[in-house]
Amino acid sequence: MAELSSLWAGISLLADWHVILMMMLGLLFGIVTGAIPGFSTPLAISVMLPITFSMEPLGAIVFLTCIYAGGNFGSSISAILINIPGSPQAIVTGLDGYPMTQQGRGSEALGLAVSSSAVGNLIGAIFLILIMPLLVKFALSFGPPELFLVGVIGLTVIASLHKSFLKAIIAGAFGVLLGTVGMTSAGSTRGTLGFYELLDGIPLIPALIGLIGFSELFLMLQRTYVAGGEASNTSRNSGNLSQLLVGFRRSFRHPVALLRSSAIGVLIGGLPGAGGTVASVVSYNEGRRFSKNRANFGKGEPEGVISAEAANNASEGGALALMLSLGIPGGLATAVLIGGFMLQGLIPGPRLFLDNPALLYGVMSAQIFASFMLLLFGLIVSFYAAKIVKVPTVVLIPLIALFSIIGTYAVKLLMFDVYIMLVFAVVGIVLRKFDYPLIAIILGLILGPILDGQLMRTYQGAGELTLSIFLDRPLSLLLLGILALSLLPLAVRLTKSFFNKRG
Amino acid sequence: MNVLSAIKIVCAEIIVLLLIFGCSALYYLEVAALPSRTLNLLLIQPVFVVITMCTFALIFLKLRDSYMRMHNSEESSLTNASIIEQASASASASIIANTTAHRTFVKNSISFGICTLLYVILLDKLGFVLTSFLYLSVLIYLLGSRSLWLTFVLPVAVVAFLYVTMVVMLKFSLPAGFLV
Repeated sequence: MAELSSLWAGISLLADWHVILMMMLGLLFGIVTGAIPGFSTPLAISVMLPITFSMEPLGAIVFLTCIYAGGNFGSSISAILINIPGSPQAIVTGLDGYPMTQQGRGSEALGLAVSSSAVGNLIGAIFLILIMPLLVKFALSFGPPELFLVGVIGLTVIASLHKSFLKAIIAGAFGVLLGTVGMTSAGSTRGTLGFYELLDGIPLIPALIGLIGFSELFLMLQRTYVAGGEASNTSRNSGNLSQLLVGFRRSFRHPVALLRSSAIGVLIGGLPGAGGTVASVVSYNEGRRFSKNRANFGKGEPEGVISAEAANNASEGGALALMLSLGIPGGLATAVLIGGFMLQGLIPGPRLFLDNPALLYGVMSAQIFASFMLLLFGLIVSFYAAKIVKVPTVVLIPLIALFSIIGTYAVKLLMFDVYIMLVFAVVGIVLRKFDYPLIAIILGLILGPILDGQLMRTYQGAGELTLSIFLDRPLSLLLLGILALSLLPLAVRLTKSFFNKRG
Repeated sequence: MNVLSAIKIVCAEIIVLLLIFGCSALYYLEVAALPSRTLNLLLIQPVFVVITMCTFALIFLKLRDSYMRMHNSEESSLTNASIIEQASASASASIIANTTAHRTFVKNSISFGICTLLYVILLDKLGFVLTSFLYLSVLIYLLGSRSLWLTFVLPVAVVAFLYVTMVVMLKFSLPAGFLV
């Protein structure tokens, strides 16, 4: 029962006022920024990433994961009140939340969102703690070829979920190439363009902040005038405490919907490239199929809000499971979280569970406590929600830009990092504009050096590189099978479009 | 109008693709010229092959799509001229609404880009305090706010807050200039 003892060790690490304070601050920051239209959760985490550099590991990582949890709920606030989701994962929350606001039941919808988010988060966290030992045991038996295949599977899953399969593959492959820049273990220097700062490879943290955070400011610039007119009619809906509490209690009267949505959220959250948005969409559709009030969906049905919100918060559990066990980011938020681990000198993956189990169990059980805090903070912020939603983006964009630049600089006190950040911001803007999945290039960037190192080791060990390296091992055969399965949706789509054209 | 903009989009798509491909090709050639060629190309060669194949497949698909769309639009313009007329009338109305919004967006993006570039260049020459204040103040003004609170008081407060937390409390040495 090694797991139980490390679980206990992890929980006891949390009994530190500093860590608890970090959890509260993270949640609060996540909820408030989530509520601001256009301020997505990955952006919120990336803005705060450099600040965690000076913190101790547990506090830092718990701070970031709590921003994640808070952001997942917070984005529903603006979706409910002004029908503009704070980030994409709240799109379907607005389908029923906004009609409720129009009926004067905005506070009730917020209450529903608070309690179902907290329950979703709790179920996600419990799942995470239960499944983790199994996943890690599995992942620890991975050798270089398996790790290589896992990376490829991650990329193909992202690609087959994305609109354009080819674009996702190009982005991922390009990321891998970028990841191999720098000095190799064999001593040759690749693609540094003469910058000695690049000998260690492209610095990941500035690249992440640029790709995920800074490039999103351009999207916000586009939205400044979109949000303008509609925010005025929300004031009559704000701060109705009794209504908030009605909604808060109401979601517990739908335990089946809560459980089903959370389960969907956890499972889909674990898929690379899917994340909270897909989870809530699927859960909403399932919710409508199973509900007795099917006809009322889309017109202000509480169950719609519940199924969307529980799923999008539970997805964090699945996403964290993937990230912590294999070190693979499934989405932008977990990609920044990997950056957070690396700032502390930790590399997420199965090895980390052997080296530092208490820390990881601390991070995971913090999610349980965060769920209960979410109940309280969610209610408090919802009470003042109408004011937050009106924060003008005109002010936010310069502020976030300043924080990102100064933060990037402060990590290593290098202006070079800031330049790297800006270069990747431009890359991010172009990729977003032309609909390349950002997460693919980031996955490549993170996996590139690992793949390169593993391949070189395999090659130097075996003296040659043949297909039999992959075929002789049962585990990698299994993974090859999964790889083929992950291509299935794509094959279905291709044949469908083929027959559509014919018919 | 519609066909033209569609062609523009396709061209831009292809340019981006070729850019990515060009960067990868340059990198590949550079690595291939290194001494221990096989070892260095272990990962890079297959990845480069994948990029090449996908790039050309995508370019082919884009060209085929745009060709088919042009073909279709010509056909439909011959058959339902009246519908097109109606549609173009409503479309031009929405384009006018769109262009003002689009113009603000372009203007905002340009001012954001230039300010940020200037800020980063000047940061370690003029120091953190002065440049950060100017950056915030000028950018908020350019993005459309005219209130003194937002263009002056807020930047001062933010820079003071950052200075106190980062420099005084956390002892980060941010770039210093002649001011502080």
